[in-house]
Amino acid sequence: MADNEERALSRRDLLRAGVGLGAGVAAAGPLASLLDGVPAGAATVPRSKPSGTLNVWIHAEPPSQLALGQIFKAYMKKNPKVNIKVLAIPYAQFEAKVLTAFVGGNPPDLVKIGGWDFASYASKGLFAPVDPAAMGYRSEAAFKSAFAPGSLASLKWGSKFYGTPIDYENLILLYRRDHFREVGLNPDRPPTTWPELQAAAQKLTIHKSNGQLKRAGLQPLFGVPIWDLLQFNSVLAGLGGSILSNNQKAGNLSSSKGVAAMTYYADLFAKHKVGSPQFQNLTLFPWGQMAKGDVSMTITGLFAVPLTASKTLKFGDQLDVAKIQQWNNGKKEVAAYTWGWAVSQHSSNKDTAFNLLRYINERSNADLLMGTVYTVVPVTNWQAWWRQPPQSAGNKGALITADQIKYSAYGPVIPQWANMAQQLSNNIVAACNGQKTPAQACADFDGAMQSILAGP
Amino acid sequence: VSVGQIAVGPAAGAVSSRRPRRGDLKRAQRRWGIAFSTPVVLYFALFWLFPLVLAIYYSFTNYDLVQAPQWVGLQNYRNLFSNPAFWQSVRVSLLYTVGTVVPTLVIALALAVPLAKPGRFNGTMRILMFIPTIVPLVGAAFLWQVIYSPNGLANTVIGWFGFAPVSWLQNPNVALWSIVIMVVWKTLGIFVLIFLAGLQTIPGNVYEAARIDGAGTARVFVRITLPLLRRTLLFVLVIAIIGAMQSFVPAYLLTGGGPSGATTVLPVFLYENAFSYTLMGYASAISVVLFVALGGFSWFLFRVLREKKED
Repeated sequence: MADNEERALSRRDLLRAGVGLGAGVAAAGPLASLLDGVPAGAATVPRSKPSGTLNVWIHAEPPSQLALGQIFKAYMKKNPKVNIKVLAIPYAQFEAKVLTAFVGGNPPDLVKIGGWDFASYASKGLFAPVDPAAMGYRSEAAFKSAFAPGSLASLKWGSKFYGTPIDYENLILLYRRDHFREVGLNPDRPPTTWPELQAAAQKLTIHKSNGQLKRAGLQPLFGVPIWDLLQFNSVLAGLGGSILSNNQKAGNLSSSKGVAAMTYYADLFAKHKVGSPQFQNLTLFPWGQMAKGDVSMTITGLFAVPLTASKTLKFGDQLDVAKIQQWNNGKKEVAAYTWGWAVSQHSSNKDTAFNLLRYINERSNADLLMGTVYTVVPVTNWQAWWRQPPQSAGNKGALITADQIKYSAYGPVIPQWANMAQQLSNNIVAACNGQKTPAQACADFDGAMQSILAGP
Repeated sequence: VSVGQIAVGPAAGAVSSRRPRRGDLKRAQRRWGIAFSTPVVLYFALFWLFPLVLAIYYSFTNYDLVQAPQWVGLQNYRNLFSNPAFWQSVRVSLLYTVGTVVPTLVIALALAVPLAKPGRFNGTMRILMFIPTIVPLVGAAFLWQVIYSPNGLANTVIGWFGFAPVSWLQNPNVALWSIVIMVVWKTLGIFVLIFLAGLQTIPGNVYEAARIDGAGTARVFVRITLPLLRRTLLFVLVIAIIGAMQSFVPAYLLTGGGPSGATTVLPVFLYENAFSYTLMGYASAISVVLFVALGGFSWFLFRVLREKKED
């Protein structure tokens, strides 16, 4: 099977590949942009000559910083009058620091921030709407066509786009092939439906004599609002349900579909005990636990593949990825998220910031980020790079992510997202812990949303 | 040398022919009094009174730090008192306060009484007991995260006694008590020190007289030590309760308020609303409620203290 031939890609492999790629990009960049880097309808000359200083804030993650650093350096070489100052903020402090800087009137010119936060910032007038002309596009339609369908949805507020996507992820199933073999499951036929996932998880789970979990058949990342939302929303959206009502003015989990989704999801852990929020290891996370052998399957994103594979597991032999499960005859939806680049409304150098954004989204740079640090920049046809040898043999996860992108379901895009996601996370974890019945968790969430969405 | 004499000093040569009048002295004293107290008054007004008044004002507004505050009257308070998450947070805070204050005071007193007596190792013991207090709180929180990890010290220790491993920070029934244990460990030293200071103010001859009268150790503790330590005890009780109700770092760093809000003490609830959801008006209402509750409680305790003193 082709799947079995896939090689493990460690971060070191990727970085090594990136160095080569970087050199290749330098030589082939102009040609590549002529071939497929310039989307239809795009102008090639920016509105104004880039100049001045740009303060760029990102969250600290050394491999990504390195790759982005290469891109910024190349941009400054191309535009000698531009000076880019990068501030990498530790993730734990990132959101609070960015928020206080923006509301305090001292924001960076450009920031890389979670797509889920865009509505909150845009609704307060803190982000500048995308300026297609400053980016060198002839129109907003040309700007839209530069990105994969479905990748801009969470960066839109009202009728305007407020950024460009980076670090796009949709959910995939990461699983241990050796565990599958051990319990008599075919590792080449991973579960494709939610009921199959439950059956496989039950088979893979091992309990100790005292009833405690020894190995979790399925262990998602619990207690992190964005992840609880994504995982649950995959189940819910497939049933045709939604977290909020259509007009986004009320919680919608007490609907029959909401309760059905919560019942399925909570029962996996509270009733069938295939994993548990209490089994979570805060330092290893599910992918670390999987590398250790304590977890057989987890629902995660592409980023977790190298994190798991780089430890002790060989991709294709002990580790594999599969498409996220669906309901039989259900709606094809895959929960997704993206980070995005946004330009501050208060930036005194917006044109240059947008120009840099355009540069980051050039195909050669998107390929560099994908090739070195698995960071998906979903420009149109971004997966083409992965379809070329030698990297075509290297990552099934990237191609699954690419195939699923058109089914992206981001969940509600509302200014109160953080509050909503926290309430959802609390109720999901409570239901999965057996502290609340699924129906109670749904009712409590809807109740909390009443005051959150109504506001003072 | 009084302040007034210093004040008139530089001009002394010019007015040496007449004695400073009583009124001049008073005026000079007043001037120096104002000069000395102004920085304190300014500090108090700028950093205490102004933020307090502002917080009270914001609590009646819808304010997101960006747009100008909009007056909403009592709506934030109505929302707050009808929010189950707030009452859950109040419950967690009360449990946390009782859970940290009671054992800390009991253990600190139990340790301070023998340590107050002369002993070969008492000095060393006092130092050892004080070490957790000087460890930075953030460092301590990370240390305890390691202790509470699945293969950490906590599970190793209970394993010696035949108990199964516990999810210390992820089990909603256990997480709060895990934080309480860490906080008791962290704050014990400072309370032992305060009790030691209090115990050393009790005259030795009182104990001698009691012993001559045939009182045993327990009787001496109940009839002499405790009553004479009453003011220290009340002081410690007030600062311990206020400290516990305002405690933010341990819960924020160890569990982030989770799992499912099981460790969301009021300051974490307030922080989430202020800095995660930018509901500054709502967060101000929480802070005003917390301020009033703690202010009322402190007033009550100090009133008790004063009444006992008058007795």
